[in-house]
Amino acid sequence: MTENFNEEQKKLIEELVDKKLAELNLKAKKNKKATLLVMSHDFDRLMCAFIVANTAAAVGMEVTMFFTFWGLTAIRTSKEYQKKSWPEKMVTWMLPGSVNSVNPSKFSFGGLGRLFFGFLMKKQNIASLVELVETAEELGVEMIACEMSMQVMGVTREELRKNCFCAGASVYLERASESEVSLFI
Amino acid sequence: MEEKELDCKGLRCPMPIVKIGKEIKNLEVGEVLKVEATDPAFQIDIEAWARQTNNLIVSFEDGEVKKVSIKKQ
Repeated sequence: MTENFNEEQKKLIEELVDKKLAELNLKAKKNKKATLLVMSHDFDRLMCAFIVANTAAAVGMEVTMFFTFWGLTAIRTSKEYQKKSWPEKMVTWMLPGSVNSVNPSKFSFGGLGRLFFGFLMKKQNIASLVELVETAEELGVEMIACEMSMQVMGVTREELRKNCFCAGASVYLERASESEVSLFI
Repeated sequence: MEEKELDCKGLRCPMPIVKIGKEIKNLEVGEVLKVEATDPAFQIDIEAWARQTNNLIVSFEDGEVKKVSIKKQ
């Protein structure tokens, strides 16, 4: 292919290729990314999600958490009933209002399991879920609320944390496709 | 050379690593962070952290209280 080029042109092409390779190399060395798709609001699963997110942020990764359906509870701060339709009010009533009232996936015993594990964790000086969510935010973990599931579950923007934003699946996919670590919880 | 100290005694995973990750941002390159922790998995966790963040573990002392010196690269 290069037979038709003279020496000067060949040199120029080599220089351009070298420059492009250096740019690509630099791009490859940029921060690693981690994306977590959080669908559960089980206490144990959310602990897992936030421990991983916090640790990933602590080792310098760019972390994104995308909260959908039940996972919205993790970034929920309040329950509002005004301006909602009756089905939405019902769903709001049935759901936990924040991470303070989420139950473990097993041994939930109508709320006793949450108290029991909470007591055990406090005794062993393990960080609480509330603490882990706060720390994740402090460390710059990007928190995204799934717009579609917000509509389905009747969750309004005002009921969510201030530092999150609403988006759809394509934003999640963009983050996930660039991530070395991609988890579904 | 400036040395900063961080007490992570009594904290369990992931808090020691999370606190170190936060504190290391306040250091200049070449400065040393001395951390004390009691978490059982601390040694293996801090070594993995150092590999991933390209920071240097200058020294590690095992015992009831584990002591590590990290040099920011």
